[in-house]
Amino acid sequence: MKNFSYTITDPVGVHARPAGMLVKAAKPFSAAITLTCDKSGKTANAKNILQVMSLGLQSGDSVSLTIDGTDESNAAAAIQAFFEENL
Amino acid sequence: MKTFQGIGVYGAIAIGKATKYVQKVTVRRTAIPPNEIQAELEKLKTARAAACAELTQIYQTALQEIGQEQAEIFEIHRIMLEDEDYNNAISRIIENEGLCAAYAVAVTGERFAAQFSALEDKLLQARSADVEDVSNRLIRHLTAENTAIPIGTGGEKSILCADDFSPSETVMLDKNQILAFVTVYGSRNSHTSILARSRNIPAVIGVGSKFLDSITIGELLIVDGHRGIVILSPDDTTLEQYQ
Repeated sequence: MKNFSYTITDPVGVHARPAGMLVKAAKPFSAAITLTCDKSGKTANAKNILQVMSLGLQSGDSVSLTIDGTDESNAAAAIQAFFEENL
Repeated sequence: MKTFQGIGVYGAIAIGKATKYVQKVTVRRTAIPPNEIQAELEKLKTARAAACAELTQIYQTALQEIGQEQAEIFEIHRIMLEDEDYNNAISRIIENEGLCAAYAVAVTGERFAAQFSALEDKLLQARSADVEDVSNRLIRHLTAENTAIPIGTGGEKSILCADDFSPSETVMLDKNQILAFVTVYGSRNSHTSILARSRNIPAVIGVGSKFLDSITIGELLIVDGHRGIVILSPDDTTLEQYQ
């Protein structure tokens, strides 16, 4: 299992476009990738765009990622890179 | 002469005749007998594939017309269409309640759209329109209803008046036939507004529900995208000012 936290820096937060990009980045991996909004405790499956968008993550919000599965190392690296580059 | 106040979306003036567009997708709550449920699920699968293909095509058109960043919303629509939660919810209604696919999609679409409307974030609130757009597209493929946007009055360019346009409809509006558009609903943040601006189509949105009842087909309108007003049957003085 891999974990990491990230604080959203994009002023617009995780709106439709980055949510879609996150889903595209997460889907190729078999590992389960879960986002938890630290503020509200709400969770979302990173491969489900509607769940990701419903989290309503805004600039300054902290999100925790949990990655669990055979390809978790690759998945964690890819998702972390995604957040750093886009959010 | 009557004036309606709305929000100007693109700062240009258009003078022309009004045509109306009414977006209607009729869905009936039809029961499906148990031995036909599997077939109904297959029907859903086929419709979804067709809707996906259509979205890919619209994405390509949008890429050429308005560029990558604006076109991406159609990629988002495609991802939404394939969302696991969305599709499981639809299948569950078909299987557990024995209801037709179109109804299951309509109900599920409304549910998810409501979830987004309830969010605090304005940008996310606007996404409920995207969920509705995706659901309507899927329903059209299920009911084989072809709501092609009715254009102009006999080859003459016209001003299209409607309740609202979905993002995909805004992309498909034919600028060879449409001078401008006016909608009852709409916000500046909506994708419809953004797309109208990108396509340089004069438009005034959010004029309110009395508007559609007040116009007659063929009536002369002035759409003032600067001031966000629509003038119905302008008198000669006003017309002169605008020409």
